[in-house]
Amino acid sequence: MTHSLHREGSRENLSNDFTIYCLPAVGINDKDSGSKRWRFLEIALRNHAANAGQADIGNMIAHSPQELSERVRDRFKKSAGDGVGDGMAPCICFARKEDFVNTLKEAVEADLGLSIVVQGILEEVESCLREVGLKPHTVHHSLGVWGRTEKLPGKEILEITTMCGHGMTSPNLVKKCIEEVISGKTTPREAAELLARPCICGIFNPNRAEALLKRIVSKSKQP
Amino acid sequence: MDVSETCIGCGSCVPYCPMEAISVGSEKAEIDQDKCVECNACLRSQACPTDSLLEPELQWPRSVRRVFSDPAPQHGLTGIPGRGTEEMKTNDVTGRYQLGDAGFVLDIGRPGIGTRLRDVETIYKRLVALGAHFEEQNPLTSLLKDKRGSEFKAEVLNEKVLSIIIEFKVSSHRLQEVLEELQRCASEIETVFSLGLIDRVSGNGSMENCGKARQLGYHPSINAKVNIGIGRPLAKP
Repeated sequence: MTHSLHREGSRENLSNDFTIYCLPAVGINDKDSGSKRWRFLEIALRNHAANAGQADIGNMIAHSPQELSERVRDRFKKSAGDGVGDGMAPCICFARKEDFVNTLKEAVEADLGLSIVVQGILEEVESCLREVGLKPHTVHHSLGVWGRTEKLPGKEILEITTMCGHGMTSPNLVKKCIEEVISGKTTPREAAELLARPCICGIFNPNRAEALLKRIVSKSKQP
Repeated sequence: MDVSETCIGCGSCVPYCPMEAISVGSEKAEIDQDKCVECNACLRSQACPTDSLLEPELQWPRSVRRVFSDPAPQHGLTGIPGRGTEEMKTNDVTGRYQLGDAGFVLDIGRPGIGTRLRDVETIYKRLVALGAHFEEQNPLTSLLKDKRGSEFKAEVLNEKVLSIIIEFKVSSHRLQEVLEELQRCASEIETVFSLGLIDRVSGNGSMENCGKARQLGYHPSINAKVNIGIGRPLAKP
């Protein structure tokens, strides 16, 4: 989740990629926050999340939305004080701006009282917030990657792997998927879901991955 | 991570490792324990057809690898998963970053290279010398010899992890000084870090730190993370 601001990409391929999560400030407003976090997840799932999950439960690739919701609800029911001392947060990503905005609207109306953090192209995020009568409170900007950048994989690989905030989608898995899509062994959608699977918190956007894979494969076929 | 005798050497697990620690020998998979960061990505993949990947009981200092690499378990100190902290995510409620503060978050080892803790110590020592104000509720503090010092425990220096976060703040007027020091650190380490800069947004929407960074020739990315300010109780300025 800390890393979501560092998603690599162009303006064009980042424009339909929004992430959102809701969490308490541990020690301040975490009492009775577990059920609120579950309610937030429900709002996002109702609004056609492209992926969702929670690090200790898994994502929408491994579980159906209903199953995910039930597991998160039960998880927080067992949490002391309905979430006291428990900073786990369901993470969600959207592939369509209107779904993201609708989730924001419902979350504001629900008045859960917990912090909500979003990620996307900053101008687009600001525009979405204006639609629901809000302004950014605090912004975390990315100043890029510093150090031994020659050790990094290529840009096309990074555009996919950096969608996993915890680094669980490995560059070699991306390369394998590209080869298999090119050879026809798998479809871009199947490959995208395979790449989303290791990202247990659910912040990896399989729709965006599918589009990126299609572009890579299309380029590989050009003379 | 270990491989049991039931492994058939099919190689299905190999591409799942973010650290390229798995290879297939003459008969079965082998794990380079120096490269392995105990993130459990291979095990969670369920790619192994014979359930031959074995999660060992880890002792200190090797257990450090899992704390900072496996996103699933919650950290005992922070209550949140992995090696992150709340940083600006709850700033509407905590007021951790105010106008006039420049917040920094270094995600060392990301994206995807990993880091030895000696590189993290190199950076940490320089920031301590700079007088940076660190976030206390950070799992990194468990690595220090002394909470008030900057040296890490010697036995952890060669341990490798997927990433570690250093979070700190200074007064906004020291932004240039910090960025220049970080550039020097970047030239001395064997890994990478993703650098984040935090702005408490002013009433008129301006972001002082981002503006200053641009003037200094840095290029903030087009995408950013935003706390939307509806947490309660709202922190007093």
